[in-house]
Amino acid sequence: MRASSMNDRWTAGGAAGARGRGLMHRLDARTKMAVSLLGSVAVMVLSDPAALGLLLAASAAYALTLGRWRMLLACHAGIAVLMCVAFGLMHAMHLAVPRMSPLEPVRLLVPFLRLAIMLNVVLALALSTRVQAMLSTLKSLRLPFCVYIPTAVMVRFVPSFVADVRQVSETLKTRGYRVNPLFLLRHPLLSMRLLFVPLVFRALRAADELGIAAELKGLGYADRLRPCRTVHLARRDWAAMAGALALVAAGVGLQLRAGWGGGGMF
Amino acid sequence: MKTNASRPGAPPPPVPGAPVLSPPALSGTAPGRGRARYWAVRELVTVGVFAALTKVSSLLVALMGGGMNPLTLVLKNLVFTVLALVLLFKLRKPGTLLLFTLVNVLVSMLLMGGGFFLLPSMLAAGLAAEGIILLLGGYRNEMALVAGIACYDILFKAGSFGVSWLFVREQPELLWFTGVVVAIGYVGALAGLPVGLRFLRELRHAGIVHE
Repeated sequence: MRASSMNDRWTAGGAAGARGRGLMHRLDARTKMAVSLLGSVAVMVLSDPAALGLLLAASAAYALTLGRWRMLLACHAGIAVLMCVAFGLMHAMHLAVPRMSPLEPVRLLVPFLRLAIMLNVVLALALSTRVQAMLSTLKSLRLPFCVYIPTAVMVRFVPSFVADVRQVSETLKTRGYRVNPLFLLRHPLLSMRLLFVPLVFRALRAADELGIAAELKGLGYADRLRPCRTVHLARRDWAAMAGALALVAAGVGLQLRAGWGGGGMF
Repeated sequence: MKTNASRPGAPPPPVPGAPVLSPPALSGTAPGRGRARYWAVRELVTVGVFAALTKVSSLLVALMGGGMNPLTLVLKNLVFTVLALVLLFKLRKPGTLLLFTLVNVLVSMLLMGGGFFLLPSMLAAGLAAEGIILLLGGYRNEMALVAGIACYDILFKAGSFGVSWLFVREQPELLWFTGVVVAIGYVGALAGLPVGLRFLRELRHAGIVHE
């Protein structure tokens, strides 16, 4: 497979093969994970629209370094549609129950700002990191063996199962089934049977075969996991992390100026 | 002095620096120290494969069902419950549900930007479900497994509801919508229990789940 055939220089941080691509492809997967984790904590803690707006602008700039602006635009358009639906529903609820607190567009905007920020950082991570780089990163995190193996298997096998889903869909087409939202609505149980049962059987077989192969290859002999090659973060990774921390600090500053009332966590 | 290597039928001398292979390692024993590993590699791989399958199934249902709607919500939760049940029946070892939860949370948190705040509630749900399974007779008791999954589902949904409050706390009225979503999801999870038991009967018949 393509991901597993990459050499170590490729997989460690993606530096060698990613040369000539955007900044995002040259960042270490650990840096992107740290930014994603920091983002998920920051969006929960902050509630001031100005602070979240600053983080949204920064995260959009971060995600745009991917060069996939069409996809980003489509995802943000989806969030905008969701927001319009929420506005409509809230307005309808307010009309139906006048005792409800009045609709405040700025306050309603805040959850969607959070969603948009998370979307930017997660897309940046997902679209610029190869499976093998993620596996190398997981190994470098020195997780316990019983956590590392299932996590690595999960990360490695999600793309394989997606390919399996494609194969199952093609088989169904060949057999004359057109599985679409309407078919799922009209025949939910049949759809589940047609799509889900072959997948479970494939998964069970894959689990057995892979488990036997792993044992025969001697996986689990070592007392602890040792990465094949120690990967050090480059200067650009430290700069990206410092930038992310500085932005979150600026967001906290804006939040402090606005006060923690009105939905803040503290 | 005659060494082991010179005797006929004796194993070859170990290469310096190479890991020493020992038969107990195949059954989950760490080498060199005689310390038995609780989880065999095969079991860990099974947990990982099921965790991957739950993610892919959720994606599949959402894509085929045209996004998030009540039907896809029910089906997504149904599939999750069925898979969790199949896993617990396949790996009857205390801690399986907790490990499955931990792996799911870890991947969601590190690789998918899932909420950091979901971690405690999911782990608490996993621990409580493990406790209920042990109290009701352990992993050998089928009904204990079903009760454990039902408990896990409701606790996990309660935790998700709490996290959704964190997300929409500026406009608490939005919680009505998230509450409806969580309730529909739980209906799907409950429906998954009988479906899962029926599915397990088929898997037993096919010889895939042995016990």
